[in-house]
Amino acid sequence: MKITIAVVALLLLCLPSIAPAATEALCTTLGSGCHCGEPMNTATHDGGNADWSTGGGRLYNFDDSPSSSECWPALNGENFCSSQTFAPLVASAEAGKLPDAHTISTVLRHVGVGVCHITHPAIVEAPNVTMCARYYRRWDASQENPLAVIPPDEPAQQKVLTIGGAPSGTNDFLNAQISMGVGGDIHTRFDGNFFDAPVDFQGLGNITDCKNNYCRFELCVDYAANGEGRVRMRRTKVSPGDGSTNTVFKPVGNVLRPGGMNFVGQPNGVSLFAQASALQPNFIGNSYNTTFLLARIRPENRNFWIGPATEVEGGGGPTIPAAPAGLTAR
Amino acid sequence: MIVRLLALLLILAPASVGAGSAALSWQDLSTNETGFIISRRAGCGSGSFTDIVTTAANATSYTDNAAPEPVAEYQVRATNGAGDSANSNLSCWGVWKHSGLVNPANHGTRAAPPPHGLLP
Repeated sequence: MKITIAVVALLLLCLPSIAPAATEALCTTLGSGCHCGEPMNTATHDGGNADWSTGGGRLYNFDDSPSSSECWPALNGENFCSSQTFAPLVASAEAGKLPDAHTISTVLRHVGVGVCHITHPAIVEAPNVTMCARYYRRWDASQENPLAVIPPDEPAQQKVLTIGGAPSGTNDFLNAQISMGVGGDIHTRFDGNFFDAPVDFQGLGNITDCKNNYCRFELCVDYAANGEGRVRMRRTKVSPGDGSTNTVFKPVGNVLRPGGMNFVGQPNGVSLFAQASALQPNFIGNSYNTTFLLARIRPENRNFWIGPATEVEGGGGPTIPAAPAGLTAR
Repeated sequence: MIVRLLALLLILAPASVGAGSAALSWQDLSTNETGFIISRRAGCGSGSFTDIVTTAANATSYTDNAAPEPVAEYQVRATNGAGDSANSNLSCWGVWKHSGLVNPANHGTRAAPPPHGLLP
């Protein structure tokens, strides 16, 4: 009997600890530092609008997103998603592809050609700030990688995550972007003449890592007090991946912008976007995404990353509580 | 000489010869704690703290019925799955509070008032 108890106790000790169920509270934690977030963590995520296929049904309703501010759909009548083949799935349909500890209720599936955007409508920032966006994405194992080149010589691509925009009435645009292109290679870019950053395409690997496996994409723009612009990008494999992370650091731009950035959404689609999108020209297959967050912190911090969403990856748990005070002993 | 040494030993000997009841109270300044960890040490101003109990969430008081007489010192911290908060302020408890004796923590280096009627 004693041996049995000892064996059971030993087995219990050897069990992996179960990550506490937690809700993503980063927007709450960041306070005004959170531009917007879409936890997709509620059964009523669509605001009661059950029609996702046409017209206003494509206009995603973020009002009931918990613990966050409201993100906006894209402008120019695109609404949240121009695709007719875009639908929310209950997260349980993704069992085996998400960590056991996740608490999200919804995953968005994008099938075939189309575009979906989650955006924030305005980026108005003085220098000395870091802005970061985070987004989860996976592709089916049968996903066909982009193969074609779209005239004039533009490789087919899927946008994944962007922070960018253009000041009103100017062409001084900023484009910091992660995208997936021919062969499934995950590209990074930092261009536009806002900072006149040198473009390069040091990659973040291949979407092979993100097939049947969610990847966390993070992108940060570091806007220094002296007007310098830099970009950092990161991809992390989430369960059942091995947790490996690829990070790239983009060079500083050649133009100082000490006057601040004022990327306000313009009519006719002139850009504004801190964007998680799924553009799929010449593309066949399914991709899935969930949870978008755009945050900013001051002062600039080139070491800051948003990090994991506890609702997706679990294990984050609550933040450390505040210390009590006023202790008396009588 | 031997008598003097014995007297000195009596004065320097650990003064904890009994257990009292210390009523603790504090302010809960967190909204996400799962409990409060109370720690205690014998004597005030020195020594190592030992955790004695973890209360329920939102607790703001606790009675320690094993407070080591004549004095003990307490601190409390909030805890949850993410970890522990910083410690609260220290609070010294002693039988002097009930006997009219002077708080030794506030007067010199003596560790404790003499128990059981011994005069200083």
